[in-house]
Order: sequence, then C-alpha cells, then structure tokens
Amino acid sequence: MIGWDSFYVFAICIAQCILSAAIISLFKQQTKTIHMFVVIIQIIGIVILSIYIIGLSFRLHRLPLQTMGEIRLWYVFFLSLLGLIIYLRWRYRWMLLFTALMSIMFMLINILRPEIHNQHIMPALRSVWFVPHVILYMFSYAFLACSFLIAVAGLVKQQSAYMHVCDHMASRGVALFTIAMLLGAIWAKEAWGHYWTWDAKEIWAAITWMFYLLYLHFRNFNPKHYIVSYVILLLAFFALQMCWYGVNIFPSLKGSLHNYI
Amino acid sequence: MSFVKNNKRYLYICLALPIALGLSYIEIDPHTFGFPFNLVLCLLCVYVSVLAGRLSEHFLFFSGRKVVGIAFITIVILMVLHWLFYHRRLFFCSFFPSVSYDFSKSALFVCLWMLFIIILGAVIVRRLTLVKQNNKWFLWNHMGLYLVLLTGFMGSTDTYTMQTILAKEQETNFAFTELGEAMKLPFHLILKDIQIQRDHTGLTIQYKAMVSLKDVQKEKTRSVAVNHPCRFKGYDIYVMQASDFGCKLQIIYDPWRYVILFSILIMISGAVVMFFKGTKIQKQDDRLG
Repeated sequence: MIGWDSFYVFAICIAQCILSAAIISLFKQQTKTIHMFVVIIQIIGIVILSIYIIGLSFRLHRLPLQTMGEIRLWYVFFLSLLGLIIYLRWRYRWMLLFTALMSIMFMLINILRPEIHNQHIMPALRSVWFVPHVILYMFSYAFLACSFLIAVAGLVKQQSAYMHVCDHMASRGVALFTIAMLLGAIWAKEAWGHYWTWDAKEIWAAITWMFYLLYLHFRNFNPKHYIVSYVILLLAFFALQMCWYGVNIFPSLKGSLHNYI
Repeated sequence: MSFVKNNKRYLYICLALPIALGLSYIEIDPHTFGFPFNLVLCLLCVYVSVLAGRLSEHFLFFSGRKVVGIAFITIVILMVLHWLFYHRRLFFCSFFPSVSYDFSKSALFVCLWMLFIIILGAVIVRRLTLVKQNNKWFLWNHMGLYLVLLTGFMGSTDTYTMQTILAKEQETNFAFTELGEAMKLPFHLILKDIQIQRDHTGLTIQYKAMVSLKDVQKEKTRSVAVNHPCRFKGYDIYVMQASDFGCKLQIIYDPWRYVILFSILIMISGAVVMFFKGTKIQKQDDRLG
C-alpha cells in the first residue's frame, strides 16, 4: 500500500531516474539515442512520482494537497516536468541537473521530517478552491524556480543569451501566480469574508508578485540591461522563498489566518 | 545655492522621509469616506488619472520608465513598510506604534494607494491614446488591476465587519465591530443548532451552525458552515468558531462584493491569456508604459 512509510522507496527510484537523466544529459557527445534515453529516463521518474501521488490519494481518500509535505510532492512533480520541457524546447542540458538536485532536496526534506505529514487539517482548508489554488501556486513556483536557475547561469556566465528563456519562464510563472493569488482572494471571501486581509503571507505574496512584475516591466523598458534583470529575478526568488517558508519563521504568523502550514 | 542644486535629489528624500513618517502615524477611519463620498472620490480619481495621462502626452513631464519606476518603488516600499509594522513586536524599541496599530488604515498607506491608482490610470490613458497596436491585452490587464485596486479601496469604506457570540436558542439583532461598537442588524438572528463533525482523534473536521433569520416579513432557517456562508438582506453570515454550546458568527455588510469580484475576473482572464501568449518586448516607439 502506498503511503508515507513507503515514500523513501519511491524517492530513491525517482532520484535515480532524474539524476541519471541529468548526468547523461551533460555528456559532451549528444547523439539522438542519448537524447532519447535522457527523455525516457526523466519521463520514467515523473511517472513513478505520478503513481505515488495517485496511490497516496487513494490511501488518504483525497488529493494530497493539504500539508506542507504533500505540497512539496507537487512542487517536485512540476519542477521535474518543467526541467524536461526546457531541455526539450531549448536544449539547456544543465537545466535537468539543477531541477533534479532541487527535487531531490525537497524529497529529502519529506523523508527527514516525517512530522509534517501528520498535521491536523483545519476546516477552512476543506474547500473546492483549495486544489486549483495550491496546484497553480506550485506550478508557478516551478516556473519561477526555473527562471531563477537560468538567471543564475546568465549571471555567472555574464551572457544575455539566457534572457529570452527567463522571459518565457517568468511571464508564465507570473501569470499562474496571479491566477492562484486571485483564486485565493475569492476563496478568502468565501471562507473569512474578506478578499484581502494584509496577512503576513499575503503581504509577502504581494511583494513577490510586484518583484516579478518589476522584472517584466524592466525588461520591457531596458532590454539591454540584462545583469540588472537577472538580479531582479534573484531578488524576486528570495521574496518567493519568504512567501513560501520565510513567514513561518516569524512569530506573527501565529496570529495569522495562514498559520495552518 | 550650488549645494542645494547639486544635492536636490537627496534633499527631496530628506524632506519626504519625515512627511512619510508623520503620515504613517495618522490613522484614517475608512468609513469616513463611505457612500456617497467614495463615489465622488472614485470619479475624482478617474478624472485625475485621465488628466495626468493627457497632460503627460503634451508636456512629457513623466516618461513611461519613470512612471513604472515610481509606481513600483512606491509599492515595494509600501509592502516592506507594512511588513515591518506587521512584525513590529520583533523590534524591542518604543519607536514603533502600539500593537493595535493598523498600517493599512494610516494616511501614508491611503496616500500611496491613491498615488499608485492615479499613476496606473495615467499609464492606461497614455497607452489608450498614443499607442495604436499591441494594445488589447496590455489595456485589459492594466484595466483589471486598476479596477481591483480602485473598487477594493472604495469598497472597504462601505464594508462593515461585525461579530457576535450566540448560545443555542439565543436571539439577537446586534453585532459588534472590531472597535467594540454595537450595530443594529435589520433582522433577528437565532442560533438553532450546532453540528460538529470530529475525526477519530476528536479533532474538529467541519462545523455547521443552523441559524434562523427573521425580519418583519419572513423567517428562514439556513445552515452556515466554514466556506459556506449564508446571505440574507445583503449581509453575509460566517461561522468563525463553534463549540457544543454556542458559536461565534461574523456578519459582513459588503455592497461592493460583486463589483470587486467582476474586477478580479477581468484580471484572471488577462492572466490566463498572458500564460498562453507570454509577454513580448515592445518596439521602442511603443514603450510609453
């Protein structure tokens, strides 16, 4: 039976697949066969994760979307999927390695911190809005994480060539982030009576959103200043981490409406 | 004189900081701008936006870059400031205001919010009148944001949030605001029953309150659960907490709720299109903001 007790078995298989795909993708000689092999191994990794998520859904009698550990599963899923899409579309071979390492790190957190799976689910989370809200957020986080990784590469190599992929990733990520945030606002109205309450989590979501919009607008007005654009993306990703985890560190979250995480 | 001329920018900042600080200590009651003042303010905002947009076309007193720069710096400062105030309990000094202080009700917040709305409106007007192509989705997205910010702000001036605690079979037609003011409701509220669903460990999964709502003409019994509020005579009733003996109800009067919802839907549709189309770097002539 699939459950958190057996997660480490799946995690090892997934890690093996995505890490092998990442390492093989770095080989200097990239024949068509090697390319196909990388794609197939990566897909196998994603399929194993999908099987685990489906199995866990049956075990829990609901979609695994309600605890931080469950949400991380979706993040790993979208990150691996986007890594593959970027590899196929733009042939950034190093991308798979970075997405693999990030995914493995998140799976490790889930294995090392089993207490995050036993959290009590508050009644406010039992809503039809929860699934689209969280899935869209996770999908957008994965896009924005990819844009961050590409920005780091661009900054290290001091090249503007990565800019157009950053634009693709950031604009898609921002679009999903916007939809998720607004769906959250509609849900908040239904659950708590207000669209926006200036909660610690909401403030950081707004800061993150503004940073990414700043990036998109800065790119529009200063397309040649690519270093500044990369730096804005790094700062925006930092804001995103604050929004996701950072706020949990501060004691004021105890009085927050988002303190179930 | 040359010192003043050379350091004009820094002097402006030195002047702006104490003003900003002073404004942040002035608290504004949003209900002061309740209907019909909010409608007048709304129209005034739109008018000033149009005026600023049209004037900027002729006198070029702000470029697209400056507009975006100012708008974003304003918002980021706003957010950071708000965050600092939110977490003021972390700072062990008396410089920060009392615990009950709400930055979103300060004059600084209101002024910056209005400034941002006006700048955003001016950008839309400039774009509408000067740029003829690549315009559709730009205008749609920005218009959505403009409407959300404007209606959200104006709506908050007419919104009343009240709470009441009721025991089983208790009846009331009063509820209390955050400040403890008692407000009379246009109907009577009776708590008929409470249903609490618990899991095997005894923790609450879901709770539901059965309330009877009656006014002069009719009486209705409705259920109110988390995520399932009930609406009666323009008031939304939410169940906030429940025990076997009673529950805490929140009653919200928000006449702008559908206007804000409509603005949010415009923004969502714009974001959906943005996801599929992405953003394009515009041509030099189109970069008006």
